[in-house]
Amino acid sequence: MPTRQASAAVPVTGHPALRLPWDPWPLAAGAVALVVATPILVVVSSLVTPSLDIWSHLWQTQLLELIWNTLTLSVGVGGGVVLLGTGLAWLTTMYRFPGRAVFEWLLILPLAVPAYVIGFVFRGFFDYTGPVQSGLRRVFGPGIWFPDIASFGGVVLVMTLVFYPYVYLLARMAFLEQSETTLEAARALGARRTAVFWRVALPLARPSIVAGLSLAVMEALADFGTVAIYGYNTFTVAIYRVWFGLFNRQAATELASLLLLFTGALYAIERSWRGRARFYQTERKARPPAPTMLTGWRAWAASGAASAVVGGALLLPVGQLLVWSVTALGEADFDDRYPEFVLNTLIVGGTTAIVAVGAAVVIAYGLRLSHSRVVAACGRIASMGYALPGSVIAVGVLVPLAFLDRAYNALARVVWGADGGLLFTGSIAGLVFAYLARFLALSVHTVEASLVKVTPSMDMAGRSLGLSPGGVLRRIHLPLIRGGLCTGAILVFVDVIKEMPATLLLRPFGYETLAVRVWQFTSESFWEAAALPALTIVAAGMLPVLILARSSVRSRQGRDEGAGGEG
Amino acid sequence: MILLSITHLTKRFTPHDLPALDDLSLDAEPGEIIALLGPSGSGKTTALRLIAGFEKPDAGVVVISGKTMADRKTCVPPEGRGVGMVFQEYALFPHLTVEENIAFGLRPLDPRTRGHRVHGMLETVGLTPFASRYPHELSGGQQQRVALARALAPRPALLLLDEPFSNLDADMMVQMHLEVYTILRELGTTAICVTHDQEEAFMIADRVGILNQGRLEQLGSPEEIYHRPATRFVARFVGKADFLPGRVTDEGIATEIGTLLNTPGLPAGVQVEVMLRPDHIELIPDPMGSAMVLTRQFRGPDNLLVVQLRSGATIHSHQPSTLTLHPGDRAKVVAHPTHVVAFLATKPWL
Repeated sequence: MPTRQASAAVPVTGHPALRLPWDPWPLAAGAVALVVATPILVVVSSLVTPSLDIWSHLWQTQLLELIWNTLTLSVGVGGGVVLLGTGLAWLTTMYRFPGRAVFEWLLILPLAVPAYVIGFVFRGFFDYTGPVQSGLRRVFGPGIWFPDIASFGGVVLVMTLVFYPYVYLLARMAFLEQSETTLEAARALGARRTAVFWRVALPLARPSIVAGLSLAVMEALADFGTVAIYGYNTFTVAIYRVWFGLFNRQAATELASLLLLFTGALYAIERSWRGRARFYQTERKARPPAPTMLTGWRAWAASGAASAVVGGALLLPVGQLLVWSVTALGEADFDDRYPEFVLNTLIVGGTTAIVAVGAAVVIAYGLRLSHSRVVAACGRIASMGYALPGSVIAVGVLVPLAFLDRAYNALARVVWGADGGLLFTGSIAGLVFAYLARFLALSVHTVEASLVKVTPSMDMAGRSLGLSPGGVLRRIHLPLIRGGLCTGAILVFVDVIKEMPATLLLRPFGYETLAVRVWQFTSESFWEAAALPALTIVAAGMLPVLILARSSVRSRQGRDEGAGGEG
Repeated sequence: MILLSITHLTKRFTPHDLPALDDLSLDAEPGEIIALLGPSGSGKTTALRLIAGFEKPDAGVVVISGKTMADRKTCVPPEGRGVGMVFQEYALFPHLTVEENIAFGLRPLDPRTRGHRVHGMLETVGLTPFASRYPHELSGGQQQRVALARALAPRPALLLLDEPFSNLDADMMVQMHLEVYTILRELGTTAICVTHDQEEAFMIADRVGILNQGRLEQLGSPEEIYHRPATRFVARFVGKADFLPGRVTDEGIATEIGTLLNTPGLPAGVQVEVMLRPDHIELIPDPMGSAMVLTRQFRGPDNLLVVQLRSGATIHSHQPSTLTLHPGDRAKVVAHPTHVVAFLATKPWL
């Protein structure tokens, strides 16, 4: 492949045949970014050209309820994740207690479990017919009161348990980056431990906590599976209903654009909350805080709190899924199409991962070689999809694909005199396109991050040592970015497997993946049947969390080594 | 009256290693500035952190203003000690302005007093125009002034400074030495300053304590430390020192460059090593002299010469910049020590 160096000069080892009159990378990068950004642009354009009939209909039927539900859900989940995530981060960075080293990364693992999985497990577990209530009735008689899990409180509980790791991870990083001497300075000025937390550590970590909070709320807004089986009406549920219930794509698009507006508002709020102060550490070499040993009941309380969270968000769901899976396996009506769903899932996941990494390489090299603002803007637009709910992307994909199908059929009728069929919307192409629009940011970021390791002087060194541009790519770049490419592929692959709403809205008729199967069973309250596909998704979801945990633990190790101090 | 009293303070970080701080005892009078000087790993920072309350001593007692802060039973936390501290990296709070940083420790005061105090401190350190800046918008010297003002604002009985000048450029450092010294003197603050720079210690301190491997080797005025070092380590650490073998006789201490006064009062007959500072060594150009100039470093105001004696021993000498001696020239060596310092010889001389 020609790099810019090839076209730009140095004829010593240059291949004249590879020289092009223009730079191919920026053009390619721009083109890829534009294609991937199409769905987003479609939804945005429907926001600026609203259809008044549909809006007034939506207003009369459900709009107020949707907005109210979305706002309360954001506030509830936001409050929950900040409390839980920040508290646990402070606990594990500043204190030593039994099991801290294990909890430190066990607490990240709930990220691996999609919200709809914990959602349906909790629903099945705490429901009227579930083991908890049945057991209580057996002991205390039939009149015993128990809170209804399928309620606002239940949704908030489930989403808090699933999404707190975003805040936990970012707050933890922020606390670890704070210098021990900054906290000591506060104590020398008369502040107690609690005052140090409120007056110094927390304000310093605020930008990170707000970033984690906004990620968590974005996930909450994007969730479909949980809110749907809890009967809590939000935008994703409404989009699904008007799409499949009423076949009203226009209304779905309008709802999607409103959901997009919410996401945008969230982003704006996050920006403004960061405030004016730029939180540099002014020191050259920061010594990270040394944890304090907890003793007696405090130590056990800390372990107990961490165990409760890990138990509720990880052990209970996974354990219950195992029990249900085994029960389902033993029964005669075992879902014998399970291998087919796994294969389908692997196909869409694998295809998307490969395409996403390829597209990311094009965009990343385009950015690196051109330094053009246009290309940079394209890259940012293409990455925006990650912040958008799958339902919005799905709506944005369907409109252009339906147009392409119509155009293709019109052409087919002219050429062959017959319909061409649904070439785009009827195949997994649309699905892969939607996944790409939603998850490209993951692969772009990992590829870009690994390309940073390749400095321009390495290119020059390689060329001066006699390598051709292709040789530079093969022998210098590829070995250095291989790890990044793999990580990017895994991240995309796993997120595709977990994605429910976009899959439901765009899958070709009869094409079923694991996530689709989980939805089909849970929407009918067949918890046991849903367990095996759900367990498979959870197992795949552990992959990126393990990658994350490894790098996170590594940063902690660096910190412990650095904490020796001067005598 | 004693403001700070430390007795037998000991701290071990690893059970089987040497203690980081071993049996340190010292008292500070009100208004006194004491520098703890030593190489890295000598225990000076540990001593400071024990006084501040960031570490708990394994043995020993810390008493500040008559109140026991740490002993076998009690260990008052740092926030309860009323001790100000200036950190090596300043440790300013990056999310607070200069003004808010200085006001941080003034929570218990009412807002009016607090405002007065902050403005007073800003004026003292000359940062009034920068009150609403954030720390990262300041230069290194300004950051240090904020750190000093923040530590002094609550009017602590005792101020601890941990290598406060080591992050500054050379020019700025000299200026800040003087400024900090003036401010501390003006406010009459008692201070303990930890440093590895002997010039700095001599410049700002009333008394200097030399630490080596956790032990206090000597505590005394800068002049005492420099001219009458108690150990070879102190002699070498606070300036250039050469050691010449000598033998105590009835007349004094006989050395290769002449007989020196037996001011330490050593018994006749013992073998010693006499410490000589370069500024005590005079060189007189003399073609028949017993010493030969090896090297000459011209340093502007003076020259530093190394001469070799007949025995092969080398000694350093400071000479005026007008000196005409060059490498290869011969000279006569005369010693004029203000106070003869001799240590018992560690090995027999041939």
